Amino acid sequence: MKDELELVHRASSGDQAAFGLLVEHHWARLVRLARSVAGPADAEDAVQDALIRAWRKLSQLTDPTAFGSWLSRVVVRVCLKRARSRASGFVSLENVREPQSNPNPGAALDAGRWLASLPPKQRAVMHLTVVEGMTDSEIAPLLGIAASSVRAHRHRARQHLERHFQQRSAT
Amino acid sequence: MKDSEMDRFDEALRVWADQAPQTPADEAARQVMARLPERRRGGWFAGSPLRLATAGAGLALLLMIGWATLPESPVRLFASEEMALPPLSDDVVLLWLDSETPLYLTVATPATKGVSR
Repeated sequence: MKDELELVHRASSGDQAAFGLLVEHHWARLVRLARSVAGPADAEDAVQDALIRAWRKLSQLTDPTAFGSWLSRVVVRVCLKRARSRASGFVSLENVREPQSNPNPGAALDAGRWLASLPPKQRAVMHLTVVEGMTDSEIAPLLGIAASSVRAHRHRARQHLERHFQQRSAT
Repeated sequence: MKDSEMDRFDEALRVWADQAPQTPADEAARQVMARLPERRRGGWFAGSPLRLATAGAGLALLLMIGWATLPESPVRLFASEEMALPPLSDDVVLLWLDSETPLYLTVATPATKGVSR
């Protein structure tokens, strides 16, 4: 996007207003990502911290056209760090909010609960795969791991979910 | 497990993830901007160990050139004959400004404040 590229250049040279416009543009997408990785209660704080970190490191962005994915990478790293610093790294189920305009709130709540039961990196892989539709080779640099590791994380997440589904069926 | 059950989970995850943030984007941008630190423009050394290393090497080179161009003293003695030197650790570089004046440079990477990994 040409406008975004210009905003990135302006922000890189210290223009806070330009950075503010970039924040507005990416905010919802980044919060969705952080909600999956860090949990709903921590998502918006994590994104704000990540954006401030991104501002400080903006001069290190080598490819301004990749600003969006670079921001995602910063958000994922902040979320993973926060998740690691918590005792279990798992999201409290009480913090999983019901969507306000969801035609099937029960199913969505279950998805949030099940996602919360996964380790943080598996949550990130599941979000980026299922919600954002990214390929393994796109996810790999974002998480700083190999594409084969992305596949392994997704495989383990699917196995974990499968066990959940089987236990539910058995009860 | 049936694929359809995993498909239903994927669809439910998309719906769950699609919730709008509690804070609107414009308000979030205001909050973030209020917390932004001024970026230092003139800090050439800020956040770059490579630049610091380059500066250190340049300084050492200048000192060596200065030492090499000093006039010869009438009686030049080797430093070892003049004084007993303490053993040097690995991070110390010794330069002789003249036959009697040692210059010790300690090589260390300063703690870089505000640089994230």
